Amino acid sequence: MPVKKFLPSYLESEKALSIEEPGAFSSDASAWKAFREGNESAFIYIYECYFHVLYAYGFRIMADSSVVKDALQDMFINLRERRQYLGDTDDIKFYLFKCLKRRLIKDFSTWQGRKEGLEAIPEGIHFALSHETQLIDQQLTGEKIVKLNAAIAQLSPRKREIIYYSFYEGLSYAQIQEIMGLENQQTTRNLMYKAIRYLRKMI
Amino acid sequence: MKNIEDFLTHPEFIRWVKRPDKELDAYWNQWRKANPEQLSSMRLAKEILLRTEFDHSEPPTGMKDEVLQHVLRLRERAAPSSSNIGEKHRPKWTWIFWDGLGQMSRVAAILVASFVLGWVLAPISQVNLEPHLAQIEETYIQKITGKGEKMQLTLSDGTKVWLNSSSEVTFPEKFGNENREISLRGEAYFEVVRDSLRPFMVQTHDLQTTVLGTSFNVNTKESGKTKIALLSGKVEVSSSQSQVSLVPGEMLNFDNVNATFDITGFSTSQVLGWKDGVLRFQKASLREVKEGLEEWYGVEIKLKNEKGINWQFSGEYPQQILEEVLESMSYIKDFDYQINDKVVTLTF
Repeated sequence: MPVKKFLPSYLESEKALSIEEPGAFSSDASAWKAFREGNESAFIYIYECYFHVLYAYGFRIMADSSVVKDALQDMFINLRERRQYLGDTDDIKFYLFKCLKRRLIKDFSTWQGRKEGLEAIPEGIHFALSHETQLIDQQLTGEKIVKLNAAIAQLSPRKREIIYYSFYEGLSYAQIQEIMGLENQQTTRNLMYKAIRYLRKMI
Repeated sequence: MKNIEDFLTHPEFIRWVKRPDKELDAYWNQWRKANPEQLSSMRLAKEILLRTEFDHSEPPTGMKDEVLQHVLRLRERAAPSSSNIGEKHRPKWTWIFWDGLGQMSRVAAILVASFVLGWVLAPISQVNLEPHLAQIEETYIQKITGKGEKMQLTLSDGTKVWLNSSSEVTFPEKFGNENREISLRGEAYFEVVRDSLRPFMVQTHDLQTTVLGTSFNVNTKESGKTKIALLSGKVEVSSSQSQVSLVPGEMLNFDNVNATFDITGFSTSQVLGWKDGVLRFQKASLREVKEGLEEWYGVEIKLKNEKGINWQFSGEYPQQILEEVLESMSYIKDFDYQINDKVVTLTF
């Protein structure tokens, strides 16, 4: 029978022991696995880590605090109920983004009485270039920034969405393809390329 | 690469600008040197990335906790039969409702019933087993920790046990076919390997905690009190008079003297800090801090000029040696300390 004895200051054996506290999961995969196996601390850990980013993402899709709140609540309840049937993931944020988006878009489509277009964010995600950033070797003049921002506002919702995933969330093309329901990675790259080329023409 | 499209559609370039690390720095700096004619496109692409600002909203204060409470509470209510969630519009509990449920839901309900049956039968099988156990008495194992010591063990079924200081567990070297029984004095945390045929039972002074597979903490260190905190799964706790079951997030506080109990929530970090090597005080008096340190580090603490000192001390010490803890405490509470082997003197 393996017996391990340790003192509070004996760090080495602590490593093998620490599994419950937030921050103690060595990877997303292990936290997710523990959650699926019914570990409540893992659930709390995931919830605490991702609530804020999920809320921010949800609000970008649907700018209504109570709608986002309900969607998050339903999503977490649903995940807990189905935990033993969930698949693996090594990227919890991405996994939860997919769940939340699906839920928000589905709710929205139901209100509108629509059945199609489940993957599209209705109004797109809003962003703009800031005038304020202080850069050492600045190339963009104020005038160019105004032009670029006008161009960004004219981009289709899907193009603004793909720029958001790529610039802000740092998702890979494979992930973007999945979360936007695009055909393949080539179409995904093309969409991104077209969006940027449209903006470049303004400068 | 020719123009800014190429940079701004390149995931590794974006990563380098937004979240640089050594590897990316090395790569792109080298690339820059090899392609000096691309420098101005590269700078422009970088500038666009750094200037791009996305609308951002924070959740209103309190929303995170409110939603969490709702999520945890709902699970509790739905626990016996989570399948009735889609059945809101039906009459609550009638035969129509029963007939209306799918095949799966019936299975769920029956399973719940058989678990309860298992617990009811458990004491019986235990009684039958008694003479048999007596014969193999020599294969029992006892593990004891002193002050300042902790221990982790893995039982023959794979169940993990973390034993806190001044505690004791006794269990058979190999569990029998009917159940897995272990007795405890002090405090321990269990992560039980699921085995629906052999319930896992923890016997403490007055209580027996029965589980199939779960993680929970049992604490009898405070005299006359037993606390059982459940992290996951389900446990059934029975005294000679009553029986109660816990759902995750609940803690049973049992008073051994009056045989009364109540159920409260608990904070994982407070209840399980000891297991992860975190020494924690919350609004503790000087006496509580003294006893806490003695227990944690296995030392004797002597106080000098402590009359009239009134402490409400809160602090958290992850993985720290005694000297570090005293150093930081003395800074806040203004005392001198002297460590002399196993004897510590605090002078106020």
